[in-house]
Amino acid sequence: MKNFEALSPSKHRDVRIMVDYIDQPDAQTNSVPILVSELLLCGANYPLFLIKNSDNGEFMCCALLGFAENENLFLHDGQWSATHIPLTFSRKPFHMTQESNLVYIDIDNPWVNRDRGERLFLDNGEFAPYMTEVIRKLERIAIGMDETQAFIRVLAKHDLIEPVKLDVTFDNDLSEKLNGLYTIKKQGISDLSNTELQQLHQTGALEGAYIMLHSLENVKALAKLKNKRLRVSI
Amino acid sequence: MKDNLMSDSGKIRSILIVGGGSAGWLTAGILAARYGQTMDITLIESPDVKIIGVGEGTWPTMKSTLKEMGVSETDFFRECDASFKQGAKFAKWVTGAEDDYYYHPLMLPQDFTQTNLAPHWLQDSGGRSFSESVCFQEALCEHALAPKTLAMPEYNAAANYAYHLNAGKFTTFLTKHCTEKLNVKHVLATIHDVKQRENGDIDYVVTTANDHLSADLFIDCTGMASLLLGNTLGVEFIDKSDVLFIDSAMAVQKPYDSEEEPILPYTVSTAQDAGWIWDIGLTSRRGIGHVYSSRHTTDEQAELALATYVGPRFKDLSVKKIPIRSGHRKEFWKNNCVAIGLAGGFLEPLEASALMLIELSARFVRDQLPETTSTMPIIAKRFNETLTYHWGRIIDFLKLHYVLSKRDDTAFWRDNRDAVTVPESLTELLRLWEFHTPYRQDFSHKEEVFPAASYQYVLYGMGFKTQVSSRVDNSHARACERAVQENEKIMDKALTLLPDNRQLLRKIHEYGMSSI
Ligand SMILES: Cc1cc2nc3c(=O)[nH]c(=O)nc-3n(C[C@H](O)[C@H](O)[C@H](O)COP(=O)(O)OP(=O)(O)OC[C@H]3O[C@@H](n4cnc5c(N)ncnc54)[C@H](O)[C@@H]3O)c2cc1C
Repeated sequence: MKNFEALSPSKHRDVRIMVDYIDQPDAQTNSVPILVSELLLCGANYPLFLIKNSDNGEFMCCALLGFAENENLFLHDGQWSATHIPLTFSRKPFHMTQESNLVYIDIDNPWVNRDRGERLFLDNGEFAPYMTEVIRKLERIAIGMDETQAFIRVLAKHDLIEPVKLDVTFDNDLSEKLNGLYTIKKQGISDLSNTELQQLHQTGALEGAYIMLHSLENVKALAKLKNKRLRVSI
Repeated sequence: MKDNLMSDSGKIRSILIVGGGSAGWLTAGILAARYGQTMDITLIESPDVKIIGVGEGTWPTMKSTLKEMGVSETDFFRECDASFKQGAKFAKWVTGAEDDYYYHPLMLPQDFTQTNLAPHWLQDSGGRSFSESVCFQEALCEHALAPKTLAMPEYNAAANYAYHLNAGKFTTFLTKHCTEKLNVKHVLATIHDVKQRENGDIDYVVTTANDHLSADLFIDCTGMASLLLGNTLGVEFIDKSDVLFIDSAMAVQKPYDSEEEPILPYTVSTAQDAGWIWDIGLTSRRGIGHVYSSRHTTDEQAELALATYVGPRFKDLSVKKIPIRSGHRKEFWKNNCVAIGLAGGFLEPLEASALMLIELSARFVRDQLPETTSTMPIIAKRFNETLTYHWGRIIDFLKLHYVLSKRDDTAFWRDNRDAVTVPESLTELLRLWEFHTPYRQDFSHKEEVFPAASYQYVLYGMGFKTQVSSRVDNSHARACERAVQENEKIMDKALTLLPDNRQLLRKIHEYGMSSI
């Protein structure tokens, strides 16, 4: 359960954040939504897909972290081993409301404590550098949500989204099928007219589409991580 | 224009659909999706003769019918108050006891194409009903869950489904789609005369405004009036009320008690003293109706039974009474006229087969549309053979529900089991099923309306005992075990994954479903 409190220097002066993914239940997930502004960084680490939000059926850009349910293959000894952790994760346990730009902290999050980790406030009550960084992330997220939806709308408008089925067999001969994943329709890009290509290029959607396509290569890397894990557990 | 038509006379170029109920507009949509740009397709309906306005439960075939017409499923859900249907629940059909029910779900038993689970279940049911142990859909129904999530595209689902829909809104919806997107011409006028050529073919129809409408092919969708096939061409009506006794209907529309009342994702059919009551949940209301045999009860008693079912709000609802006639025309295609829908015949809506038969008939006409008048009789003959076969199978299947009942509390139920009322074809099948379970080999037609699985659901749902042979090999037994376990696994997963039916319908209205 989450228990959000509006962040205030008086109330949270002594609070520290100890990032340790071992005790972060939220991190046990096989996909995480990402923003179009972090596509390049995410694409260098994870296979990226479009996945539908089950609440409203809208597409979200997501990084795939594992194959089985609740499997995050990037977690290792409490660390998330990747060159970039998706913003919707690295902002934890903070949250910013979109309407009022108020910052909230989930005080029940296991990272929240009073002994270890990063401080939020300096002695004079100003934000500590760590917190300034978090707030930058929160602001990027607030702007990035709409940007990302706009990106997806452009893809849909040009009929560039198609479903893919992932069917991966691992070293132990077991296989995992993943449904509900969508990617960029390559043929769709070839079918675009010059004017459409131009438009897509100008909005940055074309680059985004290619990043998503290239990121599919990371499925192999992800399978490798899984096989490594299987070997360890044998 | 006229000269042009004359020059290669005999070509089928124009179709006039007479009647704008579900039959007329479904036929128009199915034909126009293929021929809208190359043929002249017109639908004429009377502004004065109302459509029957019932017929709100469909088959899963309606999904492909709508999809092929290019209908957005989201629009259809929103504009027709549509809801998901995952089967039928038959209550009180076997003994009449309060806890007496069984399901006829819309999915085949697990692994049905490779493994026949019926003999396995008959030998060891493990205390579970047939449909429960072979199919996970009953569990979804009992929990009032939807067959899909919002993330799944239109027309896709985790469990097979059909629809409940508002019949009036459905024809309005199809009218708009057919005229705006599929190039169907729409004429509002009442026909008061039909002119024939010397060879008996229909030449043209005459409206009350004295307009003449001619066509190469006429499709009679005039409902029970059967204006062209019955009235004009004089094709005989074959009465089936000696087999299926239902001849009257009484329908009401009941608002939900609250915004939270579950929308049941299945049709409930509850047996009564002299008939049965349907209960079909839409997003906006429930459609409830009593169909009964007037030879076994009175209208007053029938209304009382309906009132008891509906509850105290019954007194505020208006009751629509509809006389019905069990049976069908001797032929469905005569000369240049095909009857589709009630114009061809009607049987009690126990398995919601009427709309399905309309889709099937229209698809037949679409796929085998004669090129010329000279080939028309050959196609007509095939059509008649196919349709006669299907009507026969539907009659057998409906009668099966009555024959298997153990109720003897009223004359209606007892009379229904009287051997003289049971068609020979059904009697023969029942003899076969004493020792053999229905499976793929039993039905000959390539497009069988009720698959062997449906017979299994009804037979074993109603407690029929097939004496299966003990000659079973081990590998088959293992395959059965696996299938039953697999079904259980899927059931567990589906129960956690799938949303509440009402909730999903609300979301479809709010967000829509995407096409991919
Ligand atoms: C009680 C009951 C329950 C049912 N439940 C189901 C169910 O659950 N599922 C299912 O699949 N089916 C069901 N049906 C059957 C279903 O309602 C019909 O098959 C379906 O509605 C098709 O009707 P129709 O279009 O043939 O006729 P109608 O709806 O009667 O339409 C007739 C059309 O012909 C036109 N017309 C008539 N005379 C003239 C004229 N002289 N000039 C011009 N136009 C004319 C009318 O204007 C009208 O447009 C049920 C039927 C009944 C009676």
